[in-house]
Order: sequence, then structure tokens, then C-alpha cells
Amino acid sequence: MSLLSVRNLNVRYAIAGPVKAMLTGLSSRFIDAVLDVSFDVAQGTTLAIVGESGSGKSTLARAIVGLTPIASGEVRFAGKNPFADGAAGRAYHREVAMMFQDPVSSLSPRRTVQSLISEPFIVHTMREKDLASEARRLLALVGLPKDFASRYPHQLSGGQARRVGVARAIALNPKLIIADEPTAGLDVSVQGEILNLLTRLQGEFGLTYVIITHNLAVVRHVSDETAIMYMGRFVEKGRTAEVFPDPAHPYTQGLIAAQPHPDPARRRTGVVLTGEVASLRNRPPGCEFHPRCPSAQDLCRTIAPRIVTEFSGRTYLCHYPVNRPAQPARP
Amino acid sequence: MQLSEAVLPAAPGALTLFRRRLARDPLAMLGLTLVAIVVFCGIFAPWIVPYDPFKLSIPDKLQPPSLTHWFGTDNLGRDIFSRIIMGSRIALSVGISTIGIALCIGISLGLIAGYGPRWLDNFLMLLFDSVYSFPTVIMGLTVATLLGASVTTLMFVVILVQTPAYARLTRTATLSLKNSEYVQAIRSLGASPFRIIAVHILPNVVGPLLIIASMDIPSVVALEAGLTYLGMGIPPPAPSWGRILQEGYNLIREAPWMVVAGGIPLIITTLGFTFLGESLRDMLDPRLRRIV
Repeated sequence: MSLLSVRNLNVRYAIAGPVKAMLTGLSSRFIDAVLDVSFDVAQGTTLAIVGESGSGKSTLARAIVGLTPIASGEVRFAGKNPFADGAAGRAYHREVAMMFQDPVSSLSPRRTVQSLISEPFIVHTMREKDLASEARRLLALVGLPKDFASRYPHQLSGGQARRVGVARAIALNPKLIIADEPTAGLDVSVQGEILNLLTRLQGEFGLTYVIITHNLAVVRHVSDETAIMYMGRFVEKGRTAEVFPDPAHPYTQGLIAAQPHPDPARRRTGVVLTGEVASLRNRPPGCEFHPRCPSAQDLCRTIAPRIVTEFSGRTYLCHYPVNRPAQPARP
Repeated sequence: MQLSEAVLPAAPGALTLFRRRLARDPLAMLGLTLVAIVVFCGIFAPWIVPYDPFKLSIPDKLQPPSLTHWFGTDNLGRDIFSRIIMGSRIALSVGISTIGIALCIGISLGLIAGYGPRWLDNFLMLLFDSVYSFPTVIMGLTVATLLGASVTTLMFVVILVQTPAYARLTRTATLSLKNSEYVQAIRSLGASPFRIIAVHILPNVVGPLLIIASMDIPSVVALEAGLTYLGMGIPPPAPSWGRILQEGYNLIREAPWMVVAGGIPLIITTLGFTFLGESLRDMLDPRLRRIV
């Protein structure tokens, strides 16, 4: 059974109040940040969600944790809907931890490292725990020396602050960790260390990860499954080992081709994405990727594709997938 | 294992930090001393004044400062030094305690407005702006007319005028912190709004406010002087610093020492609280703290 399962999730933000929308004649006063997203993550595995800035990946993460309200659709964690009676309860927050993008500014600036990583125990009223020894245990787990306990966030480097963030996330032995850009803003060598740390902790505690990133190297390194997000939708999802050599969606193909390559002779061959992401306020008709798609045809400009599921479990959202037969539009 | 435990110092408590900080920071020490002087005068005023601050002695009027009358005498022959010491009582109650009360109310309302729901924010802002848009003196006169001139009325006016200013500043700072990553991170842990506000937002907004509030003390005393001049402040013959300044201003050509004498306690109080406020802010902010 999957640990986390998300069905037809929609998240929308209001961009104007009802009165302003009426006065300015907006067609809709909402923008859809996440549209019809469904996926499952099995216990002990890693799902990577990839996409450009503004594709809705952070919003999706925040919605799963309960920081952003869900417009429609369902989140199920271990078989239960945590938002069934409004806000998520304490038990959910104990089992699902989130790591935020900026390693330093996601730490409360006036608290010591010890106080930061023992915050989860205080919030979940586990005051009977020996907070100092818990802090030492967690520091040891993430590979930081004991004397870091008395430091403040501004005295930490990006990599050290990220380790503190990891320590705080694993403090309550959660089942699921949602990591928003765990490697953002770090040196390449430190990125590797953090990813290895995450992998080691996954092995030790059987953690399940949802990792949000735009770094394809990270995806390849850590994930079992990959989902590609574009304008709030999952345009392709499948096993990482299958998606990279054989992408089905032209967008996935473009992203993989746009990766920098260390071999000068092989640089920039194949499809390269052009143009800008369309405005979320004014979604293109038909397939939303068609203005940037190298293989767009008339059908794509008028009719939105439906989700195609392959035998291997791969899903994609395209009329004319790469190296695959065209998908006729069903009425 | 035991060795490393012994090497790790226990996290120092707030009071220990405060004492250590004071010992290292001469400015904080000076601030504390100046404030202590004012508080001491306020408490023990009737026992330490060299002369009766209310006793008229027309033959001794308008004497310049001398060894017998340190700050000279006023137009009714009263000893100004004694009046200033006596006046520290009014300054403490009107200037300092009202600023303290206004600061507490303002910070609380500002935190609620900044962190709470949108409609509450709009409502509180409307309230603050309405109060704030009244000219201070007009507001003071209105309230004094309605309630009658007394120390209590004056305190009420000061609280009414100062609270919106602190609330607005707190709200702005809170709004910017509300959506910061670290507050989001703590929310995702499941922390209650009360804990987020009290433990993670308040210490980050209070620092600058302490300094602004210290610097508001003289303007409150000036407001008191102004209202007193208009007959709506503290009724005579109470020796408030504002009244001494006001009388000195009228006689600035004949007896310039009155204005100077009235200004000295104001300077002492303001500097004392500003220094204290600054070191308190530094103590709250680990980035500015020099000792760990």
C-alpha cells in the first residue's frame, strides 16, 4: 500500500477580491497553481517532482503538509485523509515533516541550534524528553559536532544549516519527509554530501521522500520515481530509470536535453526548449505546452490531451508523445 | 564521554547573560545608572528634596544657580532643584509608565493584526488610523474636557496617542515575518499560533520598538507641558518637568537657568532609557551579541 496518495488535487490562489474582480472584469479571480495532480508514493521510496520556477511544485508540497488550503481533490496518508475535519491534526504533523528551500532562513534567527532541533519535541509536548541529549543524538545523526548545539543560524554555513534542517525534520521519527529543493544554494560537493546523508537516513529509518527540485542530476541520483510538472499539472510520471533514457513528453525530452553536459562535443544537441512559460492567469487552449512544443500540431492547439497510462505504469499528457504512436483525441 | 560533557558549558540563563552583558558594556551600565537615579528620585522624592518644593518665598525669586539653590529659584521663589526631584514622580507615572503600557498594548494588537485573519487586520488598522489621524493636542484637549484635567486623564491621552504608533510598527514587522520561511517551517511542525507569535515573532519585532519608545519619553513630557500650558494638564502647583520648562520658557530672558534646569532631567531620562533599550535589543539579537 502506498504511504501517501494524492488524487485529483487542485490548489488555487485568489488574485483579487470578489469586488475588484467584478470591477476589473477578470474572467476568474483565481489562478490554479496545482491542477488535477494524482500520484502515489510507496513506503521507503523517493518521488522527485521536477519543474521550472512557477510550475507549482512548492505549492503542491505546501498543500500536502497543510500550509496551503486544498481547493478540491484528496490527500491520503497511510490510508486516512488528514484534512478530513479541517486542519491537519498533531499526529499528521508528527509523521510528515517538511524541509524548506533556503537552508539558513528556514531557521528561526534568534534560537540556538539545540533549541531549533528540539522545537518539534516542545511543539508536540514531549517535554519529558532530555532535550539536550536528544539534540546531541540528532546532531550526531546528521554528522555535526556536538558543540554546534550552542550556535546560532547566522554562524552556520549553508551546508551546516541544511544539516540542522535535516535534523529538525527527522527529530520525531516521521514516516514522510517532503524536501523543497534540498540542495538549493549549496556547493556541488556539499550538495553531494546532503544527498548522501538523505539516502543514508532513508536506509536507516525507512523514510519516504518527496523531493522537489529543478536539478535533474539530483533526481537521477536519489529518486525511484520522477514526476515532471508544467503549469500545475503532472505532464509525465514514471520510474526514474525509465523516464531519463526514454522520455515520452516533449517537455521532459527538452528538460533532459537542456542539461549541461561535461563533454564539449556533446553540448546542446537535440531539442532545446524555447520561449517562456505561459501565464497562469491566461492558460493556452488545448495542450498548455503547445506554444513551446517542437512537435505541436493543430490538434494540440484546440483539444487538451488526456492522461495516457502505459503498461509500465508510466503516465503522460500528450497527443504526440516522443517515440510513441500518436494518441487519438477521444471525444 | 564525560570529558566532553564537562567541556560543554551549560547554556547561560537570561539573567546571567544580562549580568555578563552589563559588566562588559559600559553604555548599558551608564543607561542603567541613569534610569536608577530617576527611579530613586521618584520613589524617595519627599525625603531627599533640600527645600519644600511648594513653599513660596517671593524675596528669593529668580535667583541664579548658587550653592544654596543648585538650579536657582523660579518666579515664585521656589527651589527648582527640589521641584525637579519632586517632578520625577510625575515623569515616571506619566512619561514612563504610560509609554510602557502603550508599548505592551501596541505590540499585542500589532501582533494580532499582523498575524491574525485579514478582516481583523483591516478592522484594527481602521481603528489605529482613525486615532492616529487626530492632531495630538486637539485629542488631548477633547479628552481632558470630557474627563476633567488630572494625572489620570493625561495618562489616558498618552496611551491613546502612542498605542497606534507602536501597533502599526509591530504589524508591519509581523506581516513580513509571517510569510518568512522559518515561520512556515515552524507552522509545518504543527506549532500553535500562540507559540509562533510569542516565541518566534515577538523577539524579532521588539528590538527597534524598545529604542523608539525610549526616544518617545521626551515628546510625552513635552505633550504634558503643552497640555499643562493650555490648562488641561496637571493642575498647579504640581511640579512637573513640563511645567518647569513652560514657566522657564516664559522667563527665558530673565532666568535662562529655568529652561536649562528643566531640560537636564529630560536628557538624563531619555539617554538612560535609550542606552538601556539599545543594549536590550542587542541582547535579544544573537547577531549583535558580542559574547556567546
